[in-house]
Amino acid sequence: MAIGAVIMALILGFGISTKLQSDRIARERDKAEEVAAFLMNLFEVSDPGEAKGNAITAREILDRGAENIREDLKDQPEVQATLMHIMGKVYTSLGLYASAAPLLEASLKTRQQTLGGEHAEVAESLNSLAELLREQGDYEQAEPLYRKALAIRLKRFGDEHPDLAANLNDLGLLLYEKGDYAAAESLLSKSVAMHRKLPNKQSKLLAVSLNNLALVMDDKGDYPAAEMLYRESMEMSRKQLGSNDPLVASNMNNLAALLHAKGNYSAAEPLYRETLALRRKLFGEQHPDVATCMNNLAALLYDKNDYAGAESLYVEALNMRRKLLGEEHPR
Amino acid sequence: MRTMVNLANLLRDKGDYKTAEPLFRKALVLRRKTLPAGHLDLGYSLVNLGILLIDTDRPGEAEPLLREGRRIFQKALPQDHFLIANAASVLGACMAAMHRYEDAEPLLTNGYALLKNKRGEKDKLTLRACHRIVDLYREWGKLEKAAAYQALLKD
Repeated sequence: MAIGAVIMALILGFGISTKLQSDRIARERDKAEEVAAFLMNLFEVSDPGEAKGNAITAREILDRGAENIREDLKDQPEVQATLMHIMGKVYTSLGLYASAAPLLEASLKTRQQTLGGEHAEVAESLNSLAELLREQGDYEQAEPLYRKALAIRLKRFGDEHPDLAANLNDLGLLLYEKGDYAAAESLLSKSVAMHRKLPNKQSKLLAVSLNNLALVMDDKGDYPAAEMLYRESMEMSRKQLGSNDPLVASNMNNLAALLHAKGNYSAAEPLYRETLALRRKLFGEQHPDVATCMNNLAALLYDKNDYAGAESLYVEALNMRRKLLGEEHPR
Repeated sequence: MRTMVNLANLLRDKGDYKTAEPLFRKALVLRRKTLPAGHLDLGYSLVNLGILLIDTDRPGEAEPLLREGRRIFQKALPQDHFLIANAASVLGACMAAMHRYEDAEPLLTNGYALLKNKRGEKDKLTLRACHRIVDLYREWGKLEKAAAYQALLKD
């Protein structure tokens, strides 16, 4: 009897899982079809019949996707949330914060509703939204979101996981920007140590953490430690990503700033100029990171007593920052 | 905000105080609003506005700003950091401008010694700190000491 019951339960269980499976297959098929339709519509803009002789940029495809995604994929909330999340992150990297915000907020809300508040993808959305707020200088709103993402990831992944290490890095960077150096150093050191221990080493993320830890050492005035970390990060990112990458540009800018702070102007200046050229190539003429590099180069010209050169660069950078980040951005 | 303060510094150094001062003040208000208390950038704003106020003969107005800025650096940074030394030197210049020479002297000489040690003798901040000592001793009538520091400014 006891055995029978067990078999019964197993058969019943099997039946349910088959039913679930066939439901899932049907759902996956519908999902795939809707996604395919969404993508077809997206890429049709580059069809010569639609484009009417105009060159279509990746940006225009992104903009069209962002416009359509709410309607087109509303029956597939999980896929919709994933795509919105990716689009939101791309807009954040482009410095187009107003376009990023509604996508990341909607992605978070949908994921919370469909997956529950403690899901790994919810943590991902929380982290990306925190990133957007940090970029805009809104530290007060960003910090609790990072911490919430961190708590979810700690609970789900235990204390060694690439996402956890990345989260520690992001929160560490926020604390650095807030000026809390002791806490920032501790989190960034943890992130570096965790990345170093991970089996596939996650070199890009390790390079990011090394770079950020170097920022703290730099501000604290520990130039030898900072320089070593910047150089290790740069070597790693160049090897992983090639020379045309935003991370390599950040490494170069930061190393130049360190050489500048140490008074080594002749080494710093060409490195700033190289960074500026690379960032313009990567991000276009108008981007917060372009403005930052212009500011740094201007500071160097000022230190070299080239006031005229410095002033015109400052004014240009200031106008760009005002336009992109508003008047009240703290950095 | 850093760009705004940097531009204001440059304009101040060029003697364009009228354009520089409102930029400093605006940055200070915004930084107080958007940054946590004790942020280094707030310290920069305070010290740099302080320099302008000394330059434009308002050392009494500069003093509380400079003290606040110096405290921020002292709290956030290792005690031998050059920003603390620089803030001490500027505060010394402020004391000197108010003819409080005895208060000014240790601030100026200690600040200068630390800057020289951390950033080298030919660094822009070190040279400015040295200038301030020369000015102090000249004002104070200690011309021999002024000459000794003046000699350090030559190549």
